[in-house]
Amino acid sequence: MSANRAKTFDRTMKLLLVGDSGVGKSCLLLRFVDDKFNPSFITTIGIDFKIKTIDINGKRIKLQVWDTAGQERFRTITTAYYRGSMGIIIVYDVCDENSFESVKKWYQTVNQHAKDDAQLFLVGNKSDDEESRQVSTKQGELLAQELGIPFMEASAKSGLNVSEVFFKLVNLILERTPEEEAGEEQQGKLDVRQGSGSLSSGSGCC
Amino acid sequence: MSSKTIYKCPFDYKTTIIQLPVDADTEKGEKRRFNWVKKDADETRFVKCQPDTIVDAKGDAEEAHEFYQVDSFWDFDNVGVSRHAKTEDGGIIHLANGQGTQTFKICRYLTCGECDKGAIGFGGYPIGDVDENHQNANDLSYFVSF
Repeated sequence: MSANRAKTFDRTMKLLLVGDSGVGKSCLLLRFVDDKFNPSFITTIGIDFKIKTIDINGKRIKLQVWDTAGQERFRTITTAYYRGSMGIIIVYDVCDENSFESVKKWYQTVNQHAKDDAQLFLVGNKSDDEESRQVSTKQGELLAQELGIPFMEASAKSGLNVSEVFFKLVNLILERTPEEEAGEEQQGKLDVRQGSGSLSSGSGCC
Repeated sequence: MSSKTIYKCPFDYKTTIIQLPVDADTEKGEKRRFNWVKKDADETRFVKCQPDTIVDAKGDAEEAHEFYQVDSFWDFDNVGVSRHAKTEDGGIIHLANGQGTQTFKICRYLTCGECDKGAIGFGGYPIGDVDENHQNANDLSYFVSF
């Protein structure tokens, strides 16, 4: 990498979305569009991860966001996702009580596999659908309090709070590790590479 | 730092896909610039990212003819990287860069990081490469179309 190309960002972060299937994890990350220009084969293959760039406090942060879509059942594969993740978003659907019940199970799985210093975040998705709501905002807040992690309700459909979730999470990670400088950036990159490496070999078999 | 040209999604014309050095468009960047040669009919379609310098962007997704080789997927500002394509979905692509023609095996497709449309590029490896077991996303060469 030549010098003038190296410094296009200040930090990289690997983030992970977990939660029961159907809670809309993918929608927080992807919007599959039916369009003549969007070849269906890409939708079939699916997106592995996304790179998103955000500016926070004058810093340019590149996020690598992973979704465990459809692979919840494969515990061993899922484990590879956690490696190197600096932020983990546990998602439930406010219209599906079961997915809310599963949050504690996800919390345990995350604690088992993620790095100790990974920042967790609880998100109640589909908050736009008040008619079908089964889990109140208060319930979400109480659970988050109990687990000791930050909480937000969001709606991938309306776009409410989606970017706020990412901004808050990244800010929390920055607060935890503010001292990260150029040298450490390299280290962070290495972590991410290792994490995604094992994941890629894992996802190759399905 | 050298100045850059911002390339945007050809569908929404809002999302910054990547920022490339301006000298990508001069002879200095010659080795990274590739022409798409020997297009086979009904082969994978790629659309070109639009440089921000275009005044009246129509958001037209024009077919790509050129590719630019980046260092890694981290070079992108907003991009979706597909899963590893199965062999039959992968396809190959012939690219020429003034130093000759190279044939790449396409492993992963790139989409706009916001609207998910594409393909605006790919990750692959040169055919004939000794180690063809490139499952790892980090080991691929990435190309963006423009």
